[in-house]
Amino acid sequence: MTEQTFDAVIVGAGISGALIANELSEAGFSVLILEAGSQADNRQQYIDTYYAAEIKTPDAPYGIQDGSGGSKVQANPSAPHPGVPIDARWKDPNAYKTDPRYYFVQTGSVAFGSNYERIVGGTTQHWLGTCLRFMPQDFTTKTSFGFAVDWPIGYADLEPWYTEAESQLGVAGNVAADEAIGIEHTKPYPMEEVPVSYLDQYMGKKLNGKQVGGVTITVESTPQARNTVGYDNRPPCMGNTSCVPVCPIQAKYDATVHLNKATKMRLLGSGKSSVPAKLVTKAVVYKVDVGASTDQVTALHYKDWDGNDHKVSGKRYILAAHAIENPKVLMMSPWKNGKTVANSSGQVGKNLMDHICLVAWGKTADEPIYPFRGPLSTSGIPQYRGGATRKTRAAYRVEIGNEGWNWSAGAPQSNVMELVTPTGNVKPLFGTALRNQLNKECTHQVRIAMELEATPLQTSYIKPSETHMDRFGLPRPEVHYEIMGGAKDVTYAGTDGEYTVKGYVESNNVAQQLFEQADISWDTTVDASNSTPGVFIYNNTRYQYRGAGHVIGTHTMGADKSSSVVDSYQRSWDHSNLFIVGCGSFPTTGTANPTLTMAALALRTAKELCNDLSK
Amino acid sequence: MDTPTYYQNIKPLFSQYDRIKMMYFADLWDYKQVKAHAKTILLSLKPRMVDGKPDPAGWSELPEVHVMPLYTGPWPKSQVAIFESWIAAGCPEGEAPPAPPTPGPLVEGFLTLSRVLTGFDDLNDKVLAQTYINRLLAESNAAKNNQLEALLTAFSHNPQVLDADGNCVSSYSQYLALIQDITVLWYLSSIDGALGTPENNQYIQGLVWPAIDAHPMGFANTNEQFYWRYKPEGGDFTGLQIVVPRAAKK
Repeated sequence: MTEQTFDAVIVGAGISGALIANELSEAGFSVLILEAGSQADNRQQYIDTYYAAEIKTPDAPYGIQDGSGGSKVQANPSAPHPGVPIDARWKDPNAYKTDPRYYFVQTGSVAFGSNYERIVGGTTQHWLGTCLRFMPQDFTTKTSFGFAVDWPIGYADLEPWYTEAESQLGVAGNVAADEAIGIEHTKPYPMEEVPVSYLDQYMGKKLNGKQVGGVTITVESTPQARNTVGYDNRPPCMGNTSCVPVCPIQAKYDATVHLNKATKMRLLGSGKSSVPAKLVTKAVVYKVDVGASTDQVTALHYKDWDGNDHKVSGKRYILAAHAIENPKVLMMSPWKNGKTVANSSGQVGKNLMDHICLVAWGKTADEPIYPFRGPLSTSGIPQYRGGATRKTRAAYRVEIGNEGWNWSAGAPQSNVMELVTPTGNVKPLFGTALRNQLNKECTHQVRIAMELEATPLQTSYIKPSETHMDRFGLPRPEVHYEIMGGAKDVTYAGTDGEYTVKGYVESNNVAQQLFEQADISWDTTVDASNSTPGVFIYNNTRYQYRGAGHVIGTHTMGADKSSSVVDSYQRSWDHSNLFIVGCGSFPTTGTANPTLTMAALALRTAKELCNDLSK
Repeated sequence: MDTPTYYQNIKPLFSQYDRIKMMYFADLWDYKQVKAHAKTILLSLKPRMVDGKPDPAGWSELPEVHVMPLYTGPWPKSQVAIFESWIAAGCPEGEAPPAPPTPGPLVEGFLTLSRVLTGFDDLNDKVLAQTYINRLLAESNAAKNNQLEALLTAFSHNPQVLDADGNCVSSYSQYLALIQDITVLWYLSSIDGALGTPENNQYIQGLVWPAIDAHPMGFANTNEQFYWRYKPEGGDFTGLQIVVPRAAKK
């Protein structure tokens, strides 16, 4: 057992941890970053693993080979991470034994469909790069619409930090599109928007100015952390169309950008230099110690991948290990009066949310629109994000994909298989006829996703499993996920708290209208099996959602310590030297992909930490 | 560190972006080309500085080789040192990927049949063809018991495998499963319908991508900036325009 001490100890080398480490390092503080996962020697290893993977899932580059010919990738058992569940195994806690991607012990009535990475760089290694700001009304849903809770801070508090985050990540975007829906900027984006795809242009031509679902819509370019010029010594996007799971050239921001800065000695202005942060990989933190009389955190414990125990200390502690792992570690750490660390409110692990996604797909009637080119998404329809309808049902964002039916139906390989090895009485197709038919089918494919605002629920939670452990004997996360409160099965009609599901149904109607207006067929299907992850029944109709990867709400911030885990600086109400950061701090999901807001909060927290440590 | 070698230490230093931007000069992912131009590349890695910044007009003193791509910036000294010590050690190749197979006697017939089955008249990569023959023999149940040889023999006598609609004619129906495997393999570089391969050079050569006017996801081999804005026409703006290196043309 070894012990060292630092100004700050950060758990997790993802985007929040990296941004905070970088700020503290520049301010002259000593920082230790503990990362449960490992790091490839170079990016090409991730790319080669991805090319060789049989199924190109978001985690395909980042697991380990399972030994069956080297093309199946599995989660690393030393720092296991969940995969996206694809079949009924999501309910089977023992599926983990044969496929470590079934890391979650799922006990809820519906499947949690999102995953994350435990590697250096965290989930920004496989994120899409979308960098939307929240709308001002996303922070005030209680006051504005009577829904859920308000944030303890508002848009104006966060605006300077959004600007800073856009600068640090390198966001390309169009301010006018934001301002049209009430998102004001004090500064423009640091780069001009990513040019929209040919497919987006088709959608714009068909939809701009149309009234659909009660609002006048426009197709707008999406702000994204993707270079359109050389920025921060990274090249402009060359359109590899694999943002998820790996950008081969790092035109897309990922957290290794700031980890590389933070861990290097840099000369700053006025003759000062940074203090390089120390990054320790393969360090699985499993316990937080709190002093008996002071309520201050005194140490963290971690295991290396050989199973050896280590203990480290610092003046400040920052848990930045993801919205699942943060509460898990806290709930594995005893405190006093039968409570676990940071949990006097009882809210640690509660309010587990995700933007559930309605994925809709179809084909253009006549004109080919040539998907499978460019960044995976370059546009969206922002007008459904806000408005008075939020009094009665969830709002949502519409994302337009550039990857055809790849996400929705496994295209283009599924199309090849259907044509060459059809079932039933259909004759297999070959030669020029095959090539032409394949072109016709794939060049017309359109996919959109409606990403729904979630409802924070006490019945939706994560806690450490009491019965299912990983290889070190550490609990796997027990994920008890619900979309609606009090649900006992997947039939929701008649229960209360239908806000999100009502929004989902409405977005399903709107998606069909959008396709109709854009001369796109409705080819969206709902899986026939009730055990398929994401299938639910509402008012006798079956629906299917997918996870967005936006894991939110398990250590929520608030203005009141009795009902929240952290304050607006993401500081634990119970332990003033402990910060719990990331999307878990969000009280509500808003209507935007969360990463930019998470980054803005991290930078705001870093400033608070610098002030705090300077006292 | 041990003596650096091309495959273990040098090639990973060149990103896909570097490679495409420098393709006019040499293929940085080709051992022989990098070795041949090593000293010139080294000069371009040590840029000419103006006011403490790389000269935007060209980093190198050499008129022809201006720069490594400007956006990724000058290499850190530690990286340049690795490249220098690699040259000093005589540019060792290191552990190369497994050597591709030597085309055997079945290749010509296999390629001719494959052109018919895939609809790609210009299939001509004999090494890839032999790779696929080997995979069929190893992985395809339909190719067992000399069925591949039998199919190729039958094809040499009767090239009419498909009818006008692109369906298999009845005289070849006994080989249907095998011609399905051959076709899927060329399109997806797999036999069972997955989109994966044991080696990455097979994944990115799947015919499904040019067939749908696109490029392999994860590999846009083009120098056309923001190509996705445009409608693909005549092979342009697919993300697949292969830039031929000047050094290779010589």
